[in-house]
Amino acid sequence: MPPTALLHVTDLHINDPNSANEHLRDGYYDEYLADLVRAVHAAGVEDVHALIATGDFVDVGKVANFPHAKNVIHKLADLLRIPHQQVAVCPGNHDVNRPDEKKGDLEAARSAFRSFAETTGNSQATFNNLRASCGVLYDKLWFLMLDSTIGAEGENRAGRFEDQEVDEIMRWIKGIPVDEPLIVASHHPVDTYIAHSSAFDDPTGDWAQKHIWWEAAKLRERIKKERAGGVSVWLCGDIHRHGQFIEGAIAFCTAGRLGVTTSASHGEVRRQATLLQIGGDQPITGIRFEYEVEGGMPAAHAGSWTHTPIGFTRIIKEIPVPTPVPRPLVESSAPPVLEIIDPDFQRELINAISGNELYRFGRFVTGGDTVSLAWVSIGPLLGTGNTLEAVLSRMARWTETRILNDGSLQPEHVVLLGLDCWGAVFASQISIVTGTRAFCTSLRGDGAHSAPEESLNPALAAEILDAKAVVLVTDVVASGRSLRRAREEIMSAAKQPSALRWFAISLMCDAQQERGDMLDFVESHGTLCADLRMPLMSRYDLPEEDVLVPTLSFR
Amino acid sequence: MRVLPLIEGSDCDYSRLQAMAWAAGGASTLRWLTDLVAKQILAAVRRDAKKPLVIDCKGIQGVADHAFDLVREEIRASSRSILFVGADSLRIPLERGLGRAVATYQGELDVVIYGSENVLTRSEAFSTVETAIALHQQYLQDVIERSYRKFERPKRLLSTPLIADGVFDAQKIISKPEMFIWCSVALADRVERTITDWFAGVERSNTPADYKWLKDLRILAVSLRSSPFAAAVGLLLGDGLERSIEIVDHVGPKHRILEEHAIGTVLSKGQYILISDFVIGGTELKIARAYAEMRGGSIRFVTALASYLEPDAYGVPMMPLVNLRALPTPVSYQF
Repeated sequence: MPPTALLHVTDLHINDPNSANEHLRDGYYDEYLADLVRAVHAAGVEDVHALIATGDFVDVGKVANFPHAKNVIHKLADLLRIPHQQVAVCPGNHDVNRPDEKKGDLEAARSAFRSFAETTGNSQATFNNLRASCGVLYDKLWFLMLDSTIGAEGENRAGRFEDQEVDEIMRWIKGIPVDEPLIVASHHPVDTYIAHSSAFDDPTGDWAQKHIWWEAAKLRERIKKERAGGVSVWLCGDIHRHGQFIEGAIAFCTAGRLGVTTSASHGEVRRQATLLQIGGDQPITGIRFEYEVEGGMPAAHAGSWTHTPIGFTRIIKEIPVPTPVPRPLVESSAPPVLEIIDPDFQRELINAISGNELYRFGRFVTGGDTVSLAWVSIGPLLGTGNTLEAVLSRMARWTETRILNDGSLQPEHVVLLGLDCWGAVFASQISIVTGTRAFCTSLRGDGAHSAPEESLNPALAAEILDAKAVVLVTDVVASGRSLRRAREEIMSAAKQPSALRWFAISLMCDAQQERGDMLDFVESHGTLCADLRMPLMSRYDLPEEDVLVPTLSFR
Repeated sequence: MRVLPLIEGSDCDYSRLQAMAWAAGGASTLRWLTDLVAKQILAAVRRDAKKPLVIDCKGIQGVADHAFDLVREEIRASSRSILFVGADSLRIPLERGLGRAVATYQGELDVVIYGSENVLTRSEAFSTVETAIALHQQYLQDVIERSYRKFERPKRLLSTPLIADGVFDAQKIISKPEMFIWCSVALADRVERTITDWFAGVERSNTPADYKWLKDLRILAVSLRSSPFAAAVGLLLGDGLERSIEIVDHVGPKHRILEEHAIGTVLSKGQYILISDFVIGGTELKIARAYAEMRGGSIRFVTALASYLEPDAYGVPMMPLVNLRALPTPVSYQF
């Protein structure tokens, strides 16, 4: 199949087409979209074969705006010379009539959207039910448009997805040749990796419940297996943020919104569209288009589209056992599951470290027999741009998603233990958003410089042992010794066997560093930077300290 | 909604929009009244049917579109008086979101009232605001008093040559999100008031160049339990201070600097605002001053949860939340 280009737009949020407050208003949308198309051509793309729009066409259930939304979508298609049968749409939570939904009348709640969809796109659907439409969009390019709002019972969140529904959709998918690309689209994202970047628009404690379509994980995983070796792309919107990554056999991509009122609280966030190119030298590449407003205020007429090539990060959920290095520090066993909380943000962190020359090489003695050969200045790193706020929101979000949304752990069951000063800062901020308790302790230099009140004293250990889960929060995990020591000191205070569950969050943790079984007690560890090498050595493999003087020593 | 920052009193309740924004959305949304903050307001309104609710608007710069969509009707129909204090720049956005106010009074701080049709008079409204401010201060005093842990017998503290009956432990405050929020907000208020006074001094001065150090302001913490408060103050105040948080581990109680400051990678001639937990003899403060001055800067101002001596006894401008000698439960320190 020759290279195919498709444009992904989402979240038009048409509120009042007659107002002056929207780029997609009646009197301006054609100019706005014409600008976008000019930018597409300026990026070197002449032919776009399909247009996919992933929901929230109207704002807050204003179904009277669907005719205008159709005009917008068809205008964009016409400007790109895309036949209307090569347009596909799926609904978002704003496209559903909430009162009908709450009454349980799913058909009535979606009747306006379905009328819109039938006359706007999806005309080539071979398979169709209330949940999904599937067919060939262009040449051998297939589409599967999903309604992620069904099953939300009128609440502002993604809905349930029954196994029988998934089974039926999989029957359709099994009929699609694996060598023919499949575009899946849903309004809500189906994974948290992209959605972790949505700090600004909905930095709430329960954002994950509102915005992630957890229930679609079963379809996602079955598609990965069924179509391993083929090209499958999953598009989504909702979070008003961009992101793209590949996990398994699926490339996930979300775009920021195309519309919304210009005076919205996040009015300074750029409008976006994403062009994806499938086939050719690489399975998938992309270009992001962003509307940059001119001047300080997001006026509803002033601005221009820019374009940037985008790459897809491949997510690795489990770190494979590394190749043994000569004279490893300890016998290695399978490492724990370490998760990069936000791969895009990791790149920003590494760029900040490099750009501000915050990485030093030397002999850094922090405790025990391990010497770190690298040091990153955490304070200055967190002082660049809005890094501190970005770190805190991602850590809080990970805590909500991985620990509190588990179902078995409520905030009152979980304790955050901040290790040393920055760990204390992170833990205190996470606790506010999550409603958990936060404590802090000093472990640097093996506690030789800590007052009894600062160390893991029996009183503090007793408070922690009352919980069901502990989250160890720290800036940098090097050998893991501090985390292990924290656990041992707490457990030594236990008067009876404890079933405490252990988690960890860190700003940095070199994923390729061998740690033996230091962290084998940690159930899940989220880190914001795993790819920066921070090598460790045994002090016995280095010259004596009077020959190679430590750059820094906490002993 | 996990944490609702609300101080409930017998005559009125008190809250703060920025505290609500913090609890609702974390550090990245501290200056906006979003729909989540609006839900917090509604939750606070629902807690009582009668007492006035005073909501301090300090620190909030704007109101998000549609923030009040889901709560507007219930707030407007409430039988309690909801007083938004310091709402000078928010009056129009509040009106857009909540509709016309029941009453608006202008004074040193504007008060915009919604809710009950039994309109408070101007003097009633400002009296209620004063009561709410006193309620907040009493809350802080109670929180700090409860952080005290008495020893079995007097002993010498590690951080100071004094012998004490007990110790104040900021850990008890940090571990409770609501207490941590309120103490941090109060510390930020003290810092903001001081910075405002400094800038007012620049305007009055004939030699504004004497104030050029204001561009080098940094927030400083030099101990484990001060660090969370220092970071919170920087984040709450924003305006660049969130990027100027300097944490030096470990100036006290045992004196050994455990940070790259010891190897000179961090270079700053900061003009420091020191955030501390408890300042008793002032030993840690003296060492922090030496640290700042050796790096070419100085400590310009100190705020802390509490101090024992009178503020001017420490040789640096200081404004604690509470003076320990004013607590009902006596604490004593001696050589």
